[in-house]
Amino acid sequence: MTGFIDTLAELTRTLVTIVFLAAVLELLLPSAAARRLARVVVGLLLILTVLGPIGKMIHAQVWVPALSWREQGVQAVSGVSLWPGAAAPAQRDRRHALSLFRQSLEERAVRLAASVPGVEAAQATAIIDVDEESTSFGTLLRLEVVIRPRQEGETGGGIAPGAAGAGQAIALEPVQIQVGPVEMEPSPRENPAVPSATGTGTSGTGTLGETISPGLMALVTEVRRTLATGLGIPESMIVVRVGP
Amino acid sequence: MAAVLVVLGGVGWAASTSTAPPGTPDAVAGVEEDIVQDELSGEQAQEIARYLERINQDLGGRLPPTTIRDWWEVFRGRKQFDWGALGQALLSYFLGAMLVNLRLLGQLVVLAVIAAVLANLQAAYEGETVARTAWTVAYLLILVLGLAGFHSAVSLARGAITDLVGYMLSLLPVLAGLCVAAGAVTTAGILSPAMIVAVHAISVLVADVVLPLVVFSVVLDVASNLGEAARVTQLAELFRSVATSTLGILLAVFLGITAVSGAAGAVVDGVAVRTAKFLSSSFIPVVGKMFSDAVEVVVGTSLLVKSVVGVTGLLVLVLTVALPLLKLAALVLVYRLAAALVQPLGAGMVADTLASMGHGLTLITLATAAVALMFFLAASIMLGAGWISMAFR
Repeated sequence: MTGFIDTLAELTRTLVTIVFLAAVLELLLPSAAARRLARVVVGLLLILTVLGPIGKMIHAQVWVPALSWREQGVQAVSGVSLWPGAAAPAQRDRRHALSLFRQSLEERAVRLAASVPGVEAAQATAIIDVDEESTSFGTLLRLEVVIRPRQEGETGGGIAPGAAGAGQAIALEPVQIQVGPVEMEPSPRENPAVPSATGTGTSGTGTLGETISPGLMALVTEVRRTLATGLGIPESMIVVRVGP
Repeated sequence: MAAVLVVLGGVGWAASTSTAPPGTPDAVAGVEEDIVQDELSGEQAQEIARYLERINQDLGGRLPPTTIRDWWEVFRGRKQFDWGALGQALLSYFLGAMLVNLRLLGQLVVLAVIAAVLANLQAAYEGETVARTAWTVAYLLILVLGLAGFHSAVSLARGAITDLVGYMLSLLPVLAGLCVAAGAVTTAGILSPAMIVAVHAISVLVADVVLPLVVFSVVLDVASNLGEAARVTQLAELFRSVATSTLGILLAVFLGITAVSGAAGAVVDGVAVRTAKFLSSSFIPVVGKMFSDAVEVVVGTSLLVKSVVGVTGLLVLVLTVALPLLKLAALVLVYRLAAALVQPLGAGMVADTLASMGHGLTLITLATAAVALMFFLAASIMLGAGWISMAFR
């Protein structure tokens, strides 16, 4: 309500200024014809001044209902919007909110993944439904995280979890990893060249077609579990890949 | 059940403080005196007395009973209150305010005369523009003077509303406490919060929406009279309409809320006190009947005290708002008088401007009076609530 009165106060102030200047102008102008012209111009200026804040107020008030109309799909006549164009600010705002949500989620995912011992750096991408006509608009579909494991023997060279700089996103080249049932032979765990086996047949992973070590496998599982716990989303929605 | 316990507790307390033999007129008078003493010496009752004292000072000490105790004596017929003296005090206060504003009236009229002479010169001589410029300067001076007075009037109205709210916040707890003492526990529980919310909401809306709208309308009206080049009188009229409509809606909503809340608890309270009487007379052996009669005495006396405090409170409320309203009325009269005096001189625009300011001031006065009326009715409803529950038993 205060905003409304402030707008009116501003409008009144502007109108009084214009009227005062118009009165002065009328005194200064030499001919009657020029005065008549000045009156028309001042009149137009007054109209624009009055309409400006009214337009602003209408926008401000339509903004909130516009969201609910969009959410509930309320339309005066089938297929006809109650107020064409009224939803534009709402759409803009939804997109902005979505972008903030995505950014926040990705930052948290990177921080969580980097906090897992053995992960040197991470990059996260949130796959979200951006179809504004869809009922699942804004829903998280999948979270893709690419991690770079700490090299063996490297203990103090990378960014330690929890240390300053940990959790910062580092540009990594995403690597396509085939996720699917893998037939594997039991192999000695100490031999990193031998493909790892979980026994479930659902989580065999590798980098660029190469096999990965059981240690790496455990790291991937740990990252996935940490992300699921930390973000409160099911593990099935999280895809963890190992980058170079 | 809580109400029954409260009533029984109150009776027990009253009976324990009375020293005369029970059932005698002296005992009843003793109980009555104890209740009156207790209710009238509370901090919030003293707050009302402080307002009364302040009004008395403003009126030059012409308001003889300055304590609630004095008013109690007036209501009991032991003292006389001089209503004529009060009327005279208010009249002299109004005339004093008029005298203060006469200087403003004189300045406005003199400037308007100058403006009128300049307007006539403008018509008589060739140098039209020079005369018109001089007229505009004179008109601007009138505007400055008029708007300064208008600004002080708006401040006065705001101050009056703030005072009213402060006073209502002192009066409501006293009335709520007395409602409880009279057995109207539920009524007090319902009415008191509703009143406090309504009082705040109304005061904020009137002070922050209605008054600014009236000010805007006056400013636009006045600015429109500056010249023929640009006029925004219709917008000013729109603001004025919105202000008056808002005031009307507020009045209706406020009265609706208070009236409904007031009636809601009365039945419950009536039944509660009746139950308390029944319980005391039926289940307390030997002295049960006496105890039941004591309930009547306590509740009746509390209602009497409530009436005295309530009526005194209403009178203070009226006087609290009457003084600023009298000042505002004096200002309205000054502006209207100035407009009436200036019009025959031929300065139509100046007369219109002054009349417009007078109209705006009238609206501000009415808005303040409307707030006072709402508060008055709210306090009256709270005052009458105890009687409604009494009627139910």
